[in-house]
Amino acid sequence: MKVSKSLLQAIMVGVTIGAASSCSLFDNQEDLKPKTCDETCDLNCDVNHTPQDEVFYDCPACGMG
Amino acid sequence: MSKLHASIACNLDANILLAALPLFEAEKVQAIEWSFDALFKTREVPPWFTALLSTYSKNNRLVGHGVFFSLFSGKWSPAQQNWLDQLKRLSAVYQFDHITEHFGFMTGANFHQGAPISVPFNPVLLAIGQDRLKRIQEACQAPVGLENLAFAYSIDEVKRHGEFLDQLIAPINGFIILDLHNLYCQIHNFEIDFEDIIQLYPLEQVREIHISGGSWEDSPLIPGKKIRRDTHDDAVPQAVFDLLERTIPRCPNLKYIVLEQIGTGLKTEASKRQFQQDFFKMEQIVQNKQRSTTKDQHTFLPSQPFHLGKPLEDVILHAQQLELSDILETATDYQHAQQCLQASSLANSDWKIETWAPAMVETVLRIAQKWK
Repeated sequence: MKVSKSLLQAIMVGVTIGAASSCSLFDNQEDLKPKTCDETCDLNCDVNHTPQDEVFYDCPACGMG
Repeated sequence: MSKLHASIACNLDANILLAALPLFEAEKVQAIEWSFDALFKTREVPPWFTALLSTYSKNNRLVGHGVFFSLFSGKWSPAQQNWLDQLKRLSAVYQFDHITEHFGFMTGANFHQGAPISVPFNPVLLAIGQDRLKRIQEACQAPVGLENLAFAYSIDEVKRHGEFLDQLIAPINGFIILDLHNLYCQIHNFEIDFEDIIQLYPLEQVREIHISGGSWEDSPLIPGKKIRRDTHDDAVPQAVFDLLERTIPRCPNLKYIVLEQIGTGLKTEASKRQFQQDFFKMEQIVQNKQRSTTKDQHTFLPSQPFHLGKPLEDVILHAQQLELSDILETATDYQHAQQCLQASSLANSDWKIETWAPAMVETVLRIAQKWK
């Protein structure tokens, strides 16, 4: 399926520089997120394990098996 | 028959998006699967991501894949209602072609925390699962499906999983996501043949297939035994591609074939290239199996309206789930876990802990303690 070139460029710029907008999908995310993890956790959580240059780093967690 | 769509699990994840960009540029990604409830760290969603979702939504090529609803929790929670409310709101924004969730309940006393763990296939769990699936369908007003779980306690559970899924989705005329890597895990972990396991699934109810990679883990209990885990952090094994080739022709109502990988498995350039190669390999299989389209035989929508009363709950089940979660998250090793299980209310119950395979008890300890 075709995705516009301008959108693909915006994604490239976005993931590279970590630009963000003010749009939020969830009002109460505290109810939706795991609270703890350790340094080996590959599910996102309160602890930011990712390098500072990686701003967006969400995980669907369906690989938690 | 529906056209088959080669798709990817696509979330707000830098590594996934960077790996997928060349696929988008090549116009090869025919649909995306979004885990709409996994934006737990990102309070602000960038406009280019919502634009990507909208692009696929407008073309009826966006599917939603929930992770944290905890379908079989014995006690209804405000967080589950919140999850449904959010789904309803998102369904007004995006046109989901369908919505899916995982089989199991989340370990951990605190609802959306932990890992999905299997449950007894008994009338109580069947009723709770059917009740929850109706609520999801009512919230999204779209076809609703359920994914087979990789983890199983016993071979008996492996053999009964397909039939139980079929019973769960029946009241909503729902569908099944058949995760072939999950089947691959069970084929290996329980030494069962693919032909013996695939025939136990209602394949006419399969609307989506997942493929992914995973990892091997040594069993300290059984030297030489390796447990396959569905960790989504590596390339798709050739064996799973082979399963895909064999399974597609058997699923007349299949529409989406989705490649899944988590972002932590895509940090290096080599892993991103491997992801792209896996996608092209999957896409080639899909194209080879493409069939002439006819009007969908199956809408996967409820054939008649249903009434939603108060959410079903079971206090005994809830207590057992809390007890099991606590044991799995705190036991120091297999022997300790067995002692605790045998002294618990789960002993001599429908949980059938007496039949749980030792290597799988070890595995569930690792899973629960990894995600607690």
